[in-house]
Order: sequence, then structure tokens, then C-alpha cells
Amino acid sequence: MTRSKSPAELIAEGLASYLGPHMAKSAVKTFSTKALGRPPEMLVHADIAPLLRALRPMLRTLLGAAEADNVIAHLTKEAVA
Amino acid sequence: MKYRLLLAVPFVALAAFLVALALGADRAHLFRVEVELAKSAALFGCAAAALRFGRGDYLRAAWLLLGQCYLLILVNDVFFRAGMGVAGDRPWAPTVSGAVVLVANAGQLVGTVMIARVWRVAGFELAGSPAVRRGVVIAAIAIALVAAGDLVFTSGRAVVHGDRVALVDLFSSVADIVSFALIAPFLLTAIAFRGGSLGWTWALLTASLFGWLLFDATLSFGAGPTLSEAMRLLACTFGMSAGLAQRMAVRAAPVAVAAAQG
Repeated sequence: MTRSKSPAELIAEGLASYLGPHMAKSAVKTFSTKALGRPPEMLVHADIAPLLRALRPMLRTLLGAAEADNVIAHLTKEAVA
Repeated sequence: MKYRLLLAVPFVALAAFLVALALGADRAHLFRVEVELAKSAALFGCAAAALRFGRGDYLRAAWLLLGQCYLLILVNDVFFRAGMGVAGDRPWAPTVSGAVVLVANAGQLVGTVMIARVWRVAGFELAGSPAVRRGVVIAAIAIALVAAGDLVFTSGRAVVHGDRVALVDLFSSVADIVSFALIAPFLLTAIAFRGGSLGWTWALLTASLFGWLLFDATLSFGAGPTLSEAMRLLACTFGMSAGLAQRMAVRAAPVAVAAAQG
């Protein structure tokens, strides 16, 4: 169902419900550039796991370690589905 | 919907307080009940938020520090506060009371700073251009000084004249000004998270801080006890709502992601 979405869109949409759509896009852009050295529109499917790893410290701060890991596990599962 | 209910709670509490006043309730008794209930509500919200996080989580420590402030001032009211506490008339009570309030305010200040700095710790950008952000910070500092500056001046003068107990008031007032200045990052974080469940936490926390700012302003400008208590009630109940919003947002995170993925 999410194959047509880019990896950046997939992650941003997944985070938007609690970060808000603006911050979710901004976070994906910031960490995509910082961690992978590329803008979000240039990410490929294989970049999802490293991008989620890069987002982990932010999510841990905002949601706590356990919930952040749940979110990352869920998004990883969605990405490969 | 649930978040909107949390937003409504402080106003419902305020309405109940005003209705009780209008019905001719004994003011001293009503104020006493309102003060303790409001602080208990805020403690409940902070504890609910803190306990949702795990040991070592950044925001757990911050919420615990906010919660200990409400707990300690409740303890102070029950045991040491002059005219209220069960040991309030003992000769050592003012010293112990001052120490308890000092620790409570110091912890509250650190907790507030931690929550205000969450954007830096998490590594994201606040809303607005740098110029807009600077403007909001300067406006917040100016409003904080207007609201609580007089209390610093009054307590500072008392300290200079040898009133050691006023040291606690001086510290509390300075801590209040620093906290009120942090309305700026709170507000900018709420705006950054707009449309997301976490945005409610920071929006309600901003409202709580603003309530405390207005509480101090009513004291500075001598607005009378009814208005002061109304502001205290709003500040505490917004604090409770913020804590509950934080708990709900964290708890709902994986569910929210699942819903978004649809």
C-alpha cells in the first residue's frame, strides 16, 4: 500500500501524528542531510533503516526509549511490507 | 477529542471556583481548598507524565522535577507553613519552610529549563526564523520582568534590610522570571509540533507557565486574592492537563504511527 510513497514520505507520514506534519518533514530533512548526506527526495528504500537509526536519539528524547523503539520497529516493518 | 477535553478542564475548574464564590462560600475556606486541590491536580499530572517514561529517559527527569515542586509545597502547606501547617507555629518552622520552598523552586526551575531545552537535546529546529525567535524571546523576557520584577525588588529590599526569610522570596521571584522567560521556547516548540499530539503537551505547558506569570502579576500589581487564586488555579490545572497530554501522546505513539500508515 505504501510502495508508491518515497522513503522520506513514508517516514514523515509515520511520524506526523505526534510530531505534527511540519516537524515530521523537517526532522526527516534534517536527519537525512546530517546522517546520509543527501536530501530526503534522493533517499532510496535501503536508506530507511539508517535514517530511522539517525532519528532514534530525537525520538528517545521525546517519547522515551521504549516507545521510540516501538515506533522505529513499526516503521521498519511497514517499510518492508 | 481527548486533548480538547484536557484543554477544557482548567476552564471548568475555574468556572466551578467562580460559581462557589458567587454562591457565597466562605472565602478563606474556599481558597484553602482550591489551593490544595490545584496543587494536588498538578502533582497528579506531573507524576502521570513522569511514570509513562522509563528510567533514564530525559523527560522523565524533567517531569519528576516539576512534580517534586508541587509535592514539596503541599508538604510545606500541611506541616510547616505559618498559619496553615500543623507545626507552623513552632520557632523552627519558618527556617524549615524556607528550605523546603527553596528546594521545590530550584527543582521546578531545572525541570522547566529541561523541558524548554528539549528541542536542542532532540536536535530539531524551533519554529520561525532566527529573527522571529529572537523577538519572541525578548518579548517573553520583557513580560516576565514586568510581571515579576516588582516581587524581586520588594524581596531584595527586605533582604538588604536584614530579613533573611525574604531570601526565599527573592530566590522564588528570580526563578519565576527565568521560568517565565522560558515561555518563548515552550511556545516555539508547541508551534513546531502543531498538528501533532506532542504539540498539545507544549501548548498546555505554555498555558500553565502563562498562568503562573499572571499569578505573579496579580501579586505585583495588588489585584486581590480572588484574581490571584483564579490564576493559580489555571496555572496548576493547565500543568495537570499538560502532564496528562504528555502521557497520552507517548502512549499513543505507535498507535498513531499505525493509523497514519493506514
